[in-house]
Amino acid sequence: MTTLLLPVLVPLALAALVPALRRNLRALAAVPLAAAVLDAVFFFATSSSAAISEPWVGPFRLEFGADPWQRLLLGFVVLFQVTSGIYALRALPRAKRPALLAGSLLVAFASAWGVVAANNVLMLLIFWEMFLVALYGAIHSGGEGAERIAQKALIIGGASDFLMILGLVTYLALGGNATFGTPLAVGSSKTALVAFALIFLGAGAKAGMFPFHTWIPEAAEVMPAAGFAALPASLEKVLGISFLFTLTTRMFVLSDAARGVMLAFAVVTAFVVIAPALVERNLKRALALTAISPVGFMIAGMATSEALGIAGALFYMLTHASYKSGMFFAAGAFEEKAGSASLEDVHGSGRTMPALGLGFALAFVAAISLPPTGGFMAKELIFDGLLSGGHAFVLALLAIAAIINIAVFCKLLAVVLGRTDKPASSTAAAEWLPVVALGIVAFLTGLIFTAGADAFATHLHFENAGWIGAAWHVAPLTMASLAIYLLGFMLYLAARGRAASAAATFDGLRNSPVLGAGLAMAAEKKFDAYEIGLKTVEFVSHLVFRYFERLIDTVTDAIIGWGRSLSRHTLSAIHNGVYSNYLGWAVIGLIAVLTLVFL
Amino acid sequence: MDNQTTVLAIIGLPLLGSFLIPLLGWTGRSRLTGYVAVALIGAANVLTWTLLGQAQGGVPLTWHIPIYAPMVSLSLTLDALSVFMAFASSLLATLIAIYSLGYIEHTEHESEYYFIVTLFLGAMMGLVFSTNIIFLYLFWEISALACWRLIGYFREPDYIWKADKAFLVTFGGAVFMLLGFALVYAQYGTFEITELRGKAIGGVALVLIMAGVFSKSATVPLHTWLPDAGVAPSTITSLLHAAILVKIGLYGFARLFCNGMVIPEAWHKWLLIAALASAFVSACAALQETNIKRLLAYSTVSQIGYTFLGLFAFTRTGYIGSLLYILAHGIAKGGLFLCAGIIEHGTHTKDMTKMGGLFRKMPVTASAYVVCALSIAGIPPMAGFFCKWFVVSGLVEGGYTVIAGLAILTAVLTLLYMLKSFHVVFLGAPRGESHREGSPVMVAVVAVLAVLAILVTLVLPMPYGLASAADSQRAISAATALAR
Repeated sequence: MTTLLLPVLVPLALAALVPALRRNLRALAAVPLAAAVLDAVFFFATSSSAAISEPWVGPFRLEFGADPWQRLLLGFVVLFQVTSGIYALRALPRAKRPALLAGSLLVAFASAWGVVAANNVLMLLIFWEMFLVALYGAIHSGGEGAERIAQKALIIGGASDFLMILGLVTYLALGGNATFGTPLAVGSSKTALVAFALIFLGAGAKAGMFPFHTWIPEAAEVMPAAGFAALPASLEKVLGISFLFTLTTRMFVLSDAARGVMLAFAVVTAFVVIAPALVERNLKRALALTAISPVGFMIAGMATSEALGIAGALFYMLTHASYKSGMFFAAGAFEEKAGSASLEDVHGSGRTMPALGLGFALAFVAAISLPPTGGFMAKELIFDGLLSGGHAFVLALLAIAAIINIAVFCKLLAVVLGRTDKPASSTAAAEWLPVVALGIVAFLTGLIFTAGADAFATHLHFENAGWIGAAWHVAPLTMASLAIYLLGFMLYLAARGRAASAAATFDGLRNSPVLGAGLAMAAEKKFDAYEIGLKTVEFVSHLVFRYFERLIDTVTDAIIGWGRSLSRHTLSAIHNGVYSNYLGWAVIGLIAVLTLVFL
Repeated sequence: MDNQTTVLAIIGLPLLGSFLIPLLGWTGRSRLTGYVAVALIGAANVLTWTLLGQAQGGVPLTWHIPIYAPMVSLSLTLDALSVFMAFASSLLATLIAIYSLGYIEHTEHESEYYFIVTLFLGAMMGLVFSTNIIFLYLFWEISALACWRLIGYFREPDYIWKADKAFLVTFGGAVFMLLGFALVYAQYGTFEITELRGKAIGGVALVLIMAGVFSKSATVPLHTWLPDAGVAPSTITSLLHAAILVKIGLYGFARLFCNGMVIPEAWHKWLLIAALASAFVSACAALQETNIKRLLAYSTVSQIGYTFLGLFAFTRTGYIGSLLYILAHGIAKGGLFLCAGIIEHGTHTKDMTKMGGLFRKMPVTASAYVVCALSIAGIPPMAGFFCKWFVVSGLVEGGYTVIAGLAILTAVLTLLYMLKSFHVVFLGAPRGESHREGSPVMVAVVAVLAVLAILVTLVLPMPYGLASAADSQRAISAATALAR
């Protein structure tokens, strides 16, 4: 008996208890932590040789494992579960729909474990969709204002998953293996390229890639921090990017065309919300907007097909998930104390709540990718991979995105740690502990990755691990990284000098002719693919319904009405109340029956 | 009880037993009629359970009971397909009959209601086990008559018009189908489906038969009677959509063409286009609809189109997917219509724009609704996902990748209108008068259906095994016919 799937079953079983506990908020708040702790126990009890391989239904085979790479990911999943569980102790009872939040967290815990442990792409898909349903519930827990955004998230996630389903069906039809056997060459046929592109879009959507990202900032604003930090900010990113890794290394051998597609999406994703992030005045939205650009970096790393780039993308994924969920936990606590998440209101919150401020500052170091964080290593490796692959232009574009991101984070840090005359506030351990823990993990990720470089390289089938440690060596690229930090700080300082307050930094961009107009249009959701898609669907369905379906109904009714009226006249003539007529019909009927019987 | 007796009992208990119900009504025991109907329909379902092992593991059994030999005999076949359909239909019909105990009480003509419902199920059972075309047609038309009476159950003039419309469209289609059967008889000299196996059917006969199939399964452009049939009691619409009526067309096609006659390959593409158009047009209509029962009816038309896509792919995976979808759709759509019944009872309206915020008042109904809606939309782990996966896989395997892509687009539309209906009805600010949850028995049934929508996934190997056996038996029969 293996413990491999207990971390799936136990949270689901506990989720079934949630309705019974919905009136006992203290007990309800403890359930996610209990599930997380049990999952942690199961994690340590599960060896890397644990595996399940059973037939189930057709290509859907129950295949799960916990090889060292999966264990690393599962370790991070458990970390995010435990930190979310601790944070939920205090935050959950204050949520507008606590039972829904608790249930959603539990389903998310179960499905995240299932996704990582799955060794069959179809099993992975099932758990992934369960995660989507959990996300839908978690957004809903933000109350009435969150309902529309929950719908948006589910529709975007569902639509992208349908694309992935079509891609997977095509992949299997082309001879691909659901259990990650021999990879399929994308360049082998146009259909293979289409299959790859469809799966890529589905996986990218999970990670928050353009154009599927638009629900994320909206969800950040309305969703309880416990939910947002656990799902979109950490677990979902880990799942999305790790599946991109599987896609680009174990399912397909990339062609130049596939790399081109990925790099195009990477660059657009890195830039698409960078301007809104600069001028954003809500801390949670700003953090969510800065969660999108890094996805571009990770996709670019994957697209290189170079060990350097891929390793960089994976390191960045884990670092990003750590610091971003820590920052969200902190933002949630700041918002609760300040009464809103606007930058003006949370100004100085890091000083009035020093433990949270410390955790936020540690996460900041990882966010701007300073050494010794994994972010530094990751960017070095991604840039190196891009150079090795001959994508210097993409590197240059990403460097610009990195500079602007640093400026955004500097602004946010300045707001959070800004001087204030507000009195110090007490902070519950359940609030600061996850923030500080994640801040420390994010800060130390570089050292963790370096220490585990050999195991990492071996299990991901890279030739050796020497190049991972080489990320720390001073090289021309390191100088370029230093230049990026410097330019990012200078950009922030230049803008700050012109602004009335830290929160108002970069506000001047709203008045610039082109960018200002673009920002105004973005605020009106003119570029939102979801809104555009909905309007298109509404228009097409209206046309089809009004001018085709209703027309059919009118014609059908006319034919039936005509037939009815004709038959009514005929029947009236037959059914006229004259006895002899009925007798005649009876005789005709009798003759017909006798004919049938005797002939 | 041997297999033949069991099959005859499955057909006979509801079909003949239904005539006891009006007798009870006339003797002033109307309260009992519901329980008798539940017992008769439930007994048929329990008996189908005893056939599951034989259907899955054994060879198909056929019995001929001569009536007007040699032209007409009551031919019954016990194979995986017939047992699968009988099991799915009678299971859902039993749950709907139980729900009716709470829903239909205190209405007039209660005994007539239960009489027709039981007769309806009996006709369905007769149809699924019959492999003689004449008997298939006979049961087909009994179901049409029952459907006509049930749609016009409330007897208002507009309702009667809609009942007439349903009857005339399905009856008109069936008349064309009968002409098609006559052409087949003229060509091959038999009405026995087992003897027609492997025989190619001409284009004219195919079009005529498909008119009957499409009209019964409410496929565009012969579909408009189904949304109109929403005037019937919710239990009836649930029966029509989930358990019996629209599934008859699907079953008819599977029996006649997947297990019988051969359709020339040139027609495959056109059938697929017709099914896809039906799925797409009705999904668009569902997006525009504000009447909850009409929206669900359009959804049925769309999902039937989806199910036809699997059958029309003529691949193993597509066939299995379609059969599984008949079960999964039946459970989920049955649940949705019964939820709609509770909502209508509580709010006294079908207009979704006058609803809102019902989640707080009807938490069980709302939860059941969202589970069933997600299953119809094909979101895992609900059973609908697996069925859609197999249908799309079947299309790609058959080389119809573009059709598969467009089917996926339709699935996205399904997700859109299902979520829209959930949000409008159950979320947001409360609108309209005060509401309450349905009676315990009604709520229990929708909860059971929602649990089943999830549970089917956990026990999926069982229906999958049965559907696989149906496909294997079909392949063996086809090979045998070819060898002959």
